[in-house]
Amino acid sequence: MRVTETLRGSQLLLDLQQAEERLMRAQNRIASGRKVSLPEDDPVATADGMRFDSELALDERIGRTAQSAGGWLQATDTALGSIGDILLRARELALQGASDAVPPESRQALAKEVDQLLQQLIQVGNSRFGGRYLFGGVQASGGTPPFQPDPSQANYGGYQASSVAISIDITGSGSAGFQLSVTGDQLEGAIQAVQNLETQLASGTATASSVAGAIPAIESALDDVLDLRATVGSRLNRIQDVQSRLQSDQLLLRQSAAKATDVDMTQATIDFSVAQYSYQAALAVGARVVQPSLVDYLR
Amino acid sequence: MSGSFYGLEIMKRALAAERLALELTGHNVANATTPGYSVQRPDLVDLPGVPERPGVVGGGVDVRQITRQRDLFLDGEWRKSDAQLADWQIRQQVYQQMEVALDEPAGQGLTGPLNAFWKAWNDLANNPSDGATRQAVLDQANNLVQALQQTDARLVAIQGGIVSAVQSRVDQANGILDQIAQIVPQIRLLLARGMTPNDLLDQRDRLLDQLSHLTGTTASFQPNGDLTISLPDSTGTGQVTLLATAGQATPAALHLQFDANTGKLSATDGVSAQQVGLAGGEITGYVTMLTDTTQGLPALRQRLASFAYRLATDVNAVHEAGLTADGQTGVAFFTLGSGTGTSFDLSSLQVAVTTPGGIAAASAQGWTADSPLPTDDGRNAAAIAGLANQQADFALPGPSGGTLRATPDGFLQATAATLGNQAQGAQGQVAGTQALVQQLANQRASVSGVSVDEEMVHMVQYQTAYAAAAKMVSSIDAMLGVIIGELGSAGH
Repeated sequence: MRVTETLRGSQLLLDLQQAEERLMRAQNRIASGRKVSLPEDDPVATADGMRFDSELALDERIGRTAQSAGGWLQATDTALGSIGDILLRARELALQGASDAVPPESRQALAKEVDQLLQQLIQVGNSRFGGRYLFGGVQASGGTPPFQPDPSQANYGGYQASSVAISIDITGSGSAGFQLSVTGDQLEGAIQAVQNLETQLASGTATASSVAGAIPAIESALDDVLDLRATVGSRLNRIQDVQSRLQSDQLLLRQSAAKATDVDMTQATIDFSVAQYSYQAALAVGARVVQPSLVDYLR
Repeated sequence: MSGSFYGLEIMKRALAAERLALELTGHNVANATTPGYSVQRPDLVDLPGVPERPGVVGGGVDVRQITRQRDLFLDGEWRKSDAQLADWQIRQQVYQQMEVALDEPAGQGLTGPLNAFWKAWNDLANNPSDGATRQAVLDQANNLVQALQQTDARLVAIQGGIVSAVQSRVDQANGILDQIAQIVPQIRLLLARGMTPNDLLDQRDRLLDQLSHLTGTTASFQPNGDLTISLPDSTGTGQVTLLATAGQATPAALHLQFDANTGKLSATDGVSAQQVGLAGGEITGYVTMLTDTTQGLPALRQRLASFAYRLATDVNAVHEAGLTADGQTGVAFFTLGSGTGTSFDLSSLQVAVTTPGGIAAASAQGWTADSPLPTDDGRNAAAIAGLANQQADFALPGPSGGTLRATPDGFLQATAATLGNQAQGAQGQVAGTQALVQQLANQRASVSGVSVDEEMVHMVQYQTAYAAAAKMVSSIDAMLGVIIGELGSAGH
């Protein structure tokens, strides 16, 4: 082949440009920390990276739901615990009042204490979490509390909010299949039992047996509250399961996403060194090839 | 027997020939780096002499003509590959612009706003009675609409850039066609007079290189200097002749014109126009990206439209089934303007709900108009957030159309991957064609290029030959001097 100036020049330029391009790409990868900066760099890794990001976002959404549900359920559990304590105290007072040894004036005093318990019960029933009534069902943020004292009905006017529980979606499927809240109508048994006890104790004709008649209702309310606590506890377990699954899932997803789109620094550094070496070699050889011609040797 | 001055005649021609050859070497060296220059050589021939006894002494040397070193076949091959390379280089360039416009995966093009949109709905499902959470849904929905429209606007801007790039290249090609039409008669005239218009031919060939780089034209030549430049017609089976100089005293070329609305390229003589096909070159790359509904820019725009349409329609369907905080059902969340699927007008997409209370977060199931509002029911919001995970049929662009069943995220991923694959394909084409073009360019340079070493060798040769001829003149002069000057004295 006849080698001419243009041939030599354009070939050298092309070689240098290619070496420079490799060098630039390698340097870009290291500087950005990303293996894929445009989809054309690796279409499959691009789609994978985007998918992992989306899955992470979904996990994050479920995580937020689980976190807020966890707080709600714990608050519910605490409230139910207080209600249980109140009921235990009410039973204690009822047993005292059901004794023949107790004089009628003492029953009046017991009635006063039971009234306090009833107020406490209503207060707990109206307790709020994040501005919403825990036991208000799907009307948990109405202006009026779900349990309202009503003087005409001996301090209690009944449950005023919704009996439809709040449901949430903890799978990301779109169907809200997880029942989150305990509605106030499930606590009415407890309130009525305590109210009944107060009525019995306060009555002028109260006897040991009439007071004792109020005890079974309190005990069954206590059982109901315990059942509710068990339900809430199992829901809390479920939420915690979701949270721990998410944690391991996220770790895995982050690793996969990093593998798909992030640069392997060792590999990138080696690539860079190789590119740099070949660029320098191209320069060195090019400089030697282009320089001399016969002109240098003619006198 | 030859005359006394026969030797001087030979040497006169030799001096003239060597001087011309030396001047030509100078011309070559001067043009060592001129693009498109073909090295020129003196065609030296020995002249026949006068027959005499005992034989014929030749008549010395003559320069019959000056030839340029050129391989027209290589030219044609190079132009073909170069047009192909230019085509793919432009496509690759536009693909890169499209990838930047889509801003995936490194940027936060659409997946970011989309995920924020789902997150806002999910938060609303967890806290439906909170005004700030409701407002966030509206904000994120508006953000998503804006992101979609901005991405589309970036693609429209690329489209505008392509149109003006095509227009300027069409103008350039027309200018080149006119220049060639002017050069050909000059070449024809010089050839007819038996001269070799090498530098004009080089100029013509360079113009043809440029023209084919722009449009992928092919040229054929006649020995008298006439040529024909043509493009395939729109069916690809026939030819459209842009310039045919044979028999034309002042040839005129057809002009190319580009219709930005139809994306069609045609050739016109100012009276009637005929559509031409795309045969490679930069214009082909641009026009393909501008018009192709499976590989070009329209494909990506249509995918975006299809994505927005499906998403908005599905969100609306769920939203309309829900109950707003104002106690209404059947409220659309998005306003969809004209078109459906891939032909949906993305700029007409708007968030229809303007007040936080207008968002249907609650389920309308079991609700009657006289019952109190379920302010804390977020089931409908959860259902909308759940659309992120539900597969839907997204219309696909292109003549075959069809649908892709995917989640909204999945469709975006497929869109980015498809674009990436197309761009990668273009990249591969560029790399492959570039090697071929370079090889052909090397062969061309090998045939036509100037080698300084070679010219130096020739220079020394011609110089030496010239010096020898001069020496010869002086020795003949001395010889004749002997006869004329010294023989005379013998008679005295």
